[in-house]
Amino acid sequence: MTENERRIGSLIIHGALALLAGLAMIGCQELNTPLYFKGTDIVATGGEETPPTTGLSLRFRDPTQKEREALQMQADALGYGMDVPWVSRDKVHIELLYKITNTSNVADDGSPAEGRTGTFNVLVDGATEYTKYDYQIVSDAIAMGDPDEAVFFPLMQSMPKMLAAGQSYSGLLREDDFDEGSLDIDALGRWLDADPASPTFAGVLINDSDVNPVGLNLVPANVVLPALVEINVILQTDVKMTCEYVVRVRDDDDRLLHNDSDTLYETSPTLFQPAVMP
Amino acid sequence: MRLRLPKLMAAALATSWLLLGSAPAGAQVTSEPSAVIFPDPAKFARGFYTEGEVGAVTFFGPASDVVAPGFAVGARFGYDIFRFFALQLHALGSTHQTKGDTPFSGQLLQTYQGMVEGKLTIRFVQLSIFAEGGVGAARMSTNLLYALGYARYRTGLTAGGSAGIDYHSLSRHFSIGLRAGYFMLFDVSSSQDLITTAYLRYTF
Repeated sequence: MTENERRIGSLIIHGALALLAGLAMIGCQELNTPLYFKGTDIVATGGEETPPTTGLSLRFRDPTQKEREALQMQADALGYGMDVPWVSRDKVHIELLYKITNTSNVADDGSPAEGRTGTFNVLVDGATEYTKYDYQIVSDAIAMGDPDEAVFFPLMQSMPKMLAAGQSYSGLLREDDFDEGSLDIDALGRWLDADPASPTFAGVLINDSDVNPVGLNLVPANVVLPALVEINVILQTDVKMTCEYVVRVRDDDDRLLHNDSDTLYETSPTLFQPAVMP
Repeated sequence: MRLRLPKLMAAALATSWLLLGSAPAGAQVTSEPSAVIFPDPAKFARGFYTEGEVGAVTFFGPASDVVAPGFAVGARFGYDIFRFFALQLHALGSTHQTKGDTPFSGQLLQTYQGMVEGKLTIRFVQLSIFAEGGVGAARMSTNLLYALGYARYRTGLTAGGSAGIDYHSLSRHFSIGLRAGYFMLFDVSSSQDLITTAYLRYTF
């Protein structure tokens, strides 16, 4: 064997070992690949006073004793006097993939019908381990103050889009949309400014915090935000449409519940209710 | 002068047979020499070997409706027990994009397959053909196929076989080749995958 052949052989051996090691590493860690949770399809007849909704709850495992201690140490180190969430935004990354179909050209019995172009909007609200946000409760609370005021303030939403009869549209609410939603719901839940003159409620929901951090004045800069553990999808349409959706979750530290030996992390979020405007 | 002429005549007479032609030669060759085989396959290295491969993985069966063909990288490590038979370990990873008219389309999915294989080889000097078969496990990186209703578990059994052609270089260690294999994915709703790769092999 020549020196050159020996060198090439060594290169190949090391290359093969590196490849095997890489594959093994991918096999073990899987590059933080996501998990998918299919939601129940939403069927809207169009123009409903209360738009149809379905949702799902993500199930997480209880932290181990060691993990609890780590959370406590982190909370002590952060020093803002609140718990560090177990299901945190920096560890659990959520995305919503949806497909809307305008089914106005199909009658309820399945026969063809004259379809109409319609407009849809996908709204999302939900809950973290601390706070639950329900747009309907909020809307009702606002309506109590002013019955003529019909306002929808969802936690997140796609922009309204038009869709011709028989057509479909696929879209998504990205991880950064959910990041913003997590900040908003935590601001309304744990960091709500009780001052009636504060623009916290609507200001937080309407504004992108990167552009205008209105209403976030009580949120510490170093806060660890909770991720959503419950996701509710609402389909607002003016004609008959259906919505299929799937929630995609990247779980950095393997906190989703999938081992029978683990116990479920129970959450009891407090429902957010805005102060009724006189 | 008179004495010298008869001596010259005698010498010419004695050597004249050389000019008239020689008698047929009686050589001692008993058979033709055997042809030299080059390169001699017996001199090719044999024993432990490793392979690196690149190619594609294509799904067949129900899973092909939702998973597009993808790029694959793999490696083998084996041992030639005989010239014609080897045992090998095979690891292969591939990456795919989901397709179809659902919210799942456009998502990335990786598959990892690991197998124990037996390999039979028939050699024709530098060329050889081979067939191999094995059994192992296939794992999906995500639960996409579960969420789509095509699989119950992310990890399942796989078994199948490949065939290919190998060309040995003049170096006693290196060869290159092509192979195609068809494998059952027992836990992916009666689906299969076709693995087609080109490889480089080094035998120690």
